[in-house]
Amino acid sequence: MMKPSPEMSRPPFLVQRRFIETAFESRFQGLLRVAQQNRSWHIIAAVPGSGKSLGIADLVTHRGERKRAGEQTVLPLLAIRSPKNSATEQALGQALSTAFGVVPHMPWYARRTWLVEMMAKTEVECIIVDDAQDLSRYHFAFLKELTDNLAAPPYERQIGLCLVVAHSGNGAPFKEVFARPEILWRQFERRFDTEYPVCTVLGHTADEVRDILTTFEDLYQDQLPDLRLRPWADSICAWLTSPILDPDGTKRVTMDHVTRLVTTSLRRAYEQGATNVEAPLLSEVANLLLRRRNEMIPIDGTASDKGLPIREVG
Amino acid sequence: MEGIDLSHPAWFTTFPCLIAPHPEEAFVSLLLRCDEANGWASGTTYTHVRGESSRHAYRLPDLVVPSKLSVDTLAGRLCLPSSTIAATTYLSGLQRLFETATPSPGDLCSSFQFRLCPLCMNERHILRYHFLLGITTCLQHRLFLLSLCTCGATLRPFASRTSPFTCSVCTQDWRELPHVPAPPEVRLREQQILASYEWWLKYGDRASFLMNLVLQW
Repeated sequence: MMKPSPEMSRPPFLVQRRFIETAFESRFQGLLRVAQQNRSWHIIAAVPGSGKSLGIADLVTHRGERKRAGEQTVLPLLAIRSPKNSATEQALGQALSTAFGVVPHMPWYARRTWLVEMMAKTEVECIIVDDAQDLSRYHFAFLKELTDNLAAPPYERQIGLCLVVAHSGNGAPFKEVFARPEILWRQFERRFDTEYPVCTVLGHTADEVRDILTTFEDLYQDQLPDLRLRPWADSICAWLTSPILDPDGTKRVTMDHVTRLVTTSLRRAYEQGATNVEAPLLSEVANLLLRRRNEMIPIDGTASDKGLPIREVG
Repeated sequence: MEGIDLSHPAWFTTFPCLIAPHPEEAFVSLLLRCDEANGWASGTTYTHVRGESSRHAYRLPDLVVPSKLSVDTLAGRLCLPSSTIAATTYLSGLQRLFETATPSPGDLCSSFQFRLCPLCMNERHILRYHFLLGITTCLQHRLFLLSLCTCGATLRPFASRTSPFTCSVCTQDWRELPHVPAPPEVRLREQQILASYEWWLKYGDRASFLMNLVLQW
């Protein structure tokens, strides 16, 4: 009698996409909360894949924001992504407007006044700009104008500002921008927090990776009942801090890399009918993460349920 | 309606500030209150629900009996059922009476005039029956409805760069317009006219309506 294949007897592997409050998120969200509380200005940097955008999305929800008929809308944390398609102040104004919902078309002179009024009315306490490395000179000038107008009568409302940047290397973000001679940059720089004007939020240490792996064990317990990931924390850290994945040599691990390594390994183990994941499989996937960046993978044949047929190069 | 938070997709498909219709409120009044709640010039909401990016001339009849598209769009932007917005119009009564999905304003009245009650303005609303032909008084406040400002200008629901509920010429708030009491006999007659409208829109049918017209001729 033919034994049913593991794939046939089990439902498809389900990737858990729940937000995990990691040590990085705790540090990152802690800074954002400080900015909201103190209405202070910060540049917050972290390497790509750290979980900045997820952390912002998690923080801005359930912070007292609400829309209800007949009541004033409240939006204490106004989070946007830096406009990518235009360096104009209008583009930033549009992005800020969209955070409130649908705003009918109106001339720019009307929209810039409306934004100030709406931000005061909805009790905005802090503006968070994700991907702030893409901000232009005109965006900075508009942010300054907006916050100055809110600070002036009749609103007299101080607003915190967090410029969240994807950063690599050791130099401070915007160092060259704020070193320019124009008065705008000096005015802008003066507004930053005294103690923590520019911060880099570091990735995860080996101990923190171990905590994340514990959470993954819980999340995937239903699909892989014997799952034990913690013993591999040190190995995982060593793989994920190799110069290819950690080019700045921080010796810290990003959440993106941990998640990719774990979910790919778990999916493969699950599809092989296993109830745990073994070191050779983790190592194999880690090698994929390290190698695949510089390889061109030809795609040929017909797509099937199992995915795309892949032929190794060389 | 329950409140919406940022994790709800409706946050990004609704207007920044939400409102709901008052009992018997007119569609145009809801549009003006929406403009006011959101800090927009009068007519901004209407331009949006008509799917236009710039202001065009409006027709009062289309504000009393708007298109279903305008009703549905406004309902979506305020996160309310379309039936709630339709209740600010005479759409459902006219649809039933004339057995059509797309009644025209002419089915309701042959002409319309923009009029308002200054005391209703304290609650920032205009009642939908105020636009009906034959109605000249606010039956709630026993005042004549006004169609002119004290500056002599004709009152208009929307005007470019004008705040909602204000005169487009002198910027006077409509709340400050004079109160002109309506005599009891006028109010009694208009109560009967209104009751007649309500009866036809609620119970009348196309056949008896046409028969009635024939008998009148």
